Amino acid sequence: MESRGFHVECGLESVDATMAAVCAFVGDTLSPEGLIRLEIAVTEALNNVVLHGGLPQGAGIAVAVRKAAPEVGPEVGVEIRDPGQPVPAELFKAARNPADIDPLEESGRGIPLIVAMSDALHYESRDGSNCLTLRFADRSS
Amino acid sequence: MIHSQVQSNGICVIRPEGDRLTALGANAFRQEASQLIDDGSNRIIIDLSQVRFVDSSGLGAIVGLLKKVGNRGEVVVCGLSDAVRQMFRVTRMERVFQIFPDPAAASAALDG
Repeated sequence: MESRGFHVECGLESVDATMAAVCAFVGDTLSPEGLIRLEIAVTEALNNVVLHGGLPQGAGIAVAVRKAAPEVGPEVGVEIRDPGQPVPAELFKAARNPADIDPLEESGRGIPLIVAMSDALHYESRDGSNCLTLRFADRSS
Repeated sequence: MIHSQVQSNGICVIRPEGDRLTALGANAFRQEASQLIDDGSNRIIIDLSQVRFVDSSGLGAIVGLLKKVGNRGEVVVCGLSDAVRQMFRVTRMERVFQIFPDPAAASAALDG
């Protein structure tokens, strides 16, 4: 297993820069299709924290990315930890399939995309820290 | 944030600047493209051939342009990368946008 940490400042510029680095790190592990799903889900998750997370002044987001060992197969775990406002856990559980959202809606796809694009999702908030854990694997195997 | 060109047939081709159309630039893209509609463009090709990735905010901006033009004209997209095509597929944007390989094919279809 190989892991790497990334710090995201509370700004959308930092999200885009971090995603380039994250995708470069996991690009040799996931299939192209899996990498696209990871980029969509993690981008949406980070955007949500930056735009709606109400982070304290000067606070950032910690992203830890773990690649499975080659013998395990194409699998990546992403842990996103922030000290902002918690997301009500039911939002993840009740997320609609993005395909079922009115295509003329201009917003409201973030959490549905996080859920649909990841292969496993866990969210918990305790002691002032929120942690979203996502797992991505090769769906063709 | 965008590059635009009005062709001799009146069709306006809009190219977002940069390789990501995300929350970072989606509002600016929407505002600049909306101004082109306000200025009279109502047959629009959004050329995404230089865009490697679109998030839900970028998608929302594109949908917003479609709604702004409404039944006064058409908005189509072209040049979708694999990642952008996947985003269109999972959100079923293929139901509301005509998708073409490049601006020439899109322009020919709009003129057809």
